[in-house]
Amino acid sequence: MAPRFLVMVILALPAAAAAPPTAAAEVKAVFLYNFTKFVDWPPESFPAPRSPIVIGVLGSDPFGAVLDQAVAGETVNGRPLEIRRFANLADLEPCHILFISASQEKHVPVILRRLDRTGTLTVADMAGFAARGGAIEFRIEDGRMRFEISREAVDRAGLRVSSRLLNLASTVRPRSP
Amino acid sequence: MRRRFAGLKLGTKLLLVITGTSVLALSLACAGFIVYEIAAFRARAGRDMDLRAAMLAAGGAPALAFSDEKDAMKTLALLRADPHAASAQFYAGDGSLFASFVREGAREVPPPRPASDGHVFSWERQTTASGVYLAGRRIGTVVLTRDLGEMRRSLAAVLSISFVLLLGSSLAALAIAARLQRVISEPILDLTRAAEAIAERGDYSSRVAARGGDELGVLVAAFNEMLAQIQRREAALRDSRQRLALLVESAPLGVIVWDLDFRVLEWNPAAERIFGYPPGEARGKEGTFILSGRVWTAQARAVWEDLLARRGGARFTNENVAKDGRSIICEWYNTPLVGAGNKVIAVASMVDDVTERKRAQDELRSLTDQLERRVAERTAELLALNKELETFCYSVSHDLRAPLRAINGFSSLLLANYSGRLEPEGKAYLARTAAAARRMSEIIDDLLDLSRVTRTAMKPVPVDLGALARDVAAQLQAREPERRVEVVIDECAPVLGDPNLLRLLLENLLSNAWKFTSRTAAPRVEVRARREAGRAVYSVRDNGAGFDPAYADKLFKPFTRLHTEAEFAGTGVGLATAARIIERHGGRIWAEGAVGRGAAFHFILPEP
Repeated sequence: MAPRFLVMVILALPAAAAAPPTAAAEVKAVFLYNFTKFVDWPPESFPAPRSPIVIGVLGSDPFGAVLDQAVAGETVNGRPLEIRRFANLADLEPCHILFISASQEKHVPVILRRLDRTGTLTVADMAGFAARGGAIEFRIEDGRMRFEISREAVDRAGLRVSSRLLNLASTVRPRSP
Repeated sequence: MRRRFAGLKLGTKLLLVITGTSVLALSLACAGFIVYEIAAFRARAGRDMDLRAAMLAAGGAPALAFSDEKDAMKTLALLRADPHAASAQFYAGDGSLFASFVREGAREVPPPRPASDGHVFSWERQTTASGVYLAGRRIGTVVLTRDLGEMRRSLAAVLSISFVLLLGSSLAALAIAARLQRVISEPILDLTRAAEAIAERGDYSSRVAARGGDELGVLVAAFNEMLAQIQRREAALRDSRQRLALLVESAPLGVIVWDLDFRVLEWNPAAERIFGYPPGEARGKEGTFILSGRVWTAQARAVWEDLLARRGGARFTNENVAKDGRSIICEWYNTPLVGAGNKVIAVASMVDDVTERKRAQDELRSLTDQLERRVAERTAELLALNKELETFCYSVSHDLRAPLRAINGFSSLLLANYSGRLEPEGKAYLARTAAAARRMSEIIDDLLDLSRVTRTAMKPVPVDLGALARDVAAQLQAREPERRVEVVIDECAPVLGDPNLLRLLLENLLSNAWKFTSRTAAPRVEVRARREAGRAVYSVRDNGAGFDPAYADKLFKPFTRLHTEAEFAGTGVGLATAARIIERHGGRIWAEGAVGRGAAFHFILPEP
């Protein structure tokens, strides 16, 4: 376990060097991982029954090794978890969850448009991300990490989110009538 | 404790056993019930708490996943509806307390976290720990605590009911046992009383009243039967002992029993008569008191030791001393009394005073000795006298021969040279003188023979009597060639004897036969040998004149003649000589015959 962990740390080094992870980044990484347990993706989004759930990070990576650690060796519903990092929209490949880094703020409308109806759960910690059409937006409330879920965005992505997750959300943006 | 129980009365024991058993059984039943109750409660409570924990875990899992304490608290607050729930906590995956709910008034805030999943029961509460899982992964722990006041109260109720039940049934058992134990203990107490009566008074005639047919009834019957047997045996024993005592009391012999230290145990009246000590005085004394000072030494001790070691009696005569100091001769018959295991338990003596008998015997013996001495003396005297006589007889016979020879010689000379000068009457006188002298010479020869038989030393060798007889018969025939006598001689086995004397014997017997058949028409002489009663018997038989059997004994005396000189010439010494020879050989001779029908002389001689 330890050598493998070391390898992953080394692979993640350039991103980590760019922005050292904070306690908030750590919590976000765990949340990203936990979202996989409360979201049902359509079966056609997986090429095979054992295909991994892919968590993508677009733009500059705020997590470093923390995200890799959070998902290392874990499986959800029998599927392994995979972290992929994309520098810009041009590199983007299909993901199940995509964390859009704050560095991509100005590209958000393009990104969202690009991901429309692709079965991708979009997550970001930019203020007003949910209002702009993102699915989940991290925010700090009373010094604690909380999140807002946009049911409309989730529906449009073709995903089903557990009511228990909705229950935990600080704000739920209702479906469009 | 055990000893104290053993010392209790039978009735009390039974009471204790019955009551104790029922109390024990009831206590066990109550304890079992309570244990079951607790176990059942715990099982129920366990299922209950598992359910609650599962519900809390399911409800709290997302809150734990997204670190939402408020939401976790909302889930925990559902427990308010459960009056028994005391507290509940969520612990995060790293073991830190995540959310806690504690009912108002609970003692510990919050209770410590159990080390592992499962239920922990204490007197106060039940603590249940259970995992919180999300998508098959453990993300935390939920801990529930429940106050067990309800269980304690129900347990207390059960305990108090059990106690009341136990007390009631113990009292009931005591009451029933008090009545029931009499059924068993009464007959046993009866037996005990009867046994005590027997032990104290030796009264075997009492009986115990019979009871039912159970084991106790059988025991009572057996006890009664045993008493009857003992009674019979005691009577028999008393009779037997009485007979034995009478036997010892009235025995004509002294009966004394000694212990192993040689002290008097029993002493009967006969013993008192013999030794003069009454039984009371003799008992307990060591045996030395009736032993003469000359006897009681190491030797007497050895006799006593030998007696203890042997099996079977020993008889001996001993000198003892009576109370008055008299020395008495006693005949003792001593026997060790051997009991079980071949061990001597005492020694019995039977004693008789034989002083008088002994004295009489001694007297008789001395008289006999005296008599024998006198006989021996007389015999010696007689033998000496006999010897003297024989010597005298021999010398007389010997000395007579010379003058006789002179008479014979001179009368022959006279007759030869002077017969012409003598008157016929004178010649006749002279012839008669010569014949008388010749006859006297014969007598003297025979007498010398007889005395020689007695005087000469014997040299016994094996002798063939048959050959000797044929030799003698040939001589006789030669002496009278004109006579015709039929002679029959058997083959004879050799005999042991002096050859010269045996020849003289046969000469006498055969010449006798020869002589007494001289007037018989067909004379016949036989020498026969036969075996009779294992011994060789020889006979010299003839068919001559015979003799009167009335005189058969006198035949062998010297100078006895049953016929006149005119009938048969003879000196009357021949048969006496024959008898003397047989006598010297240690044999026997006897005669058999009848007048005119011959005679037979039988004799026995020693064989080699």
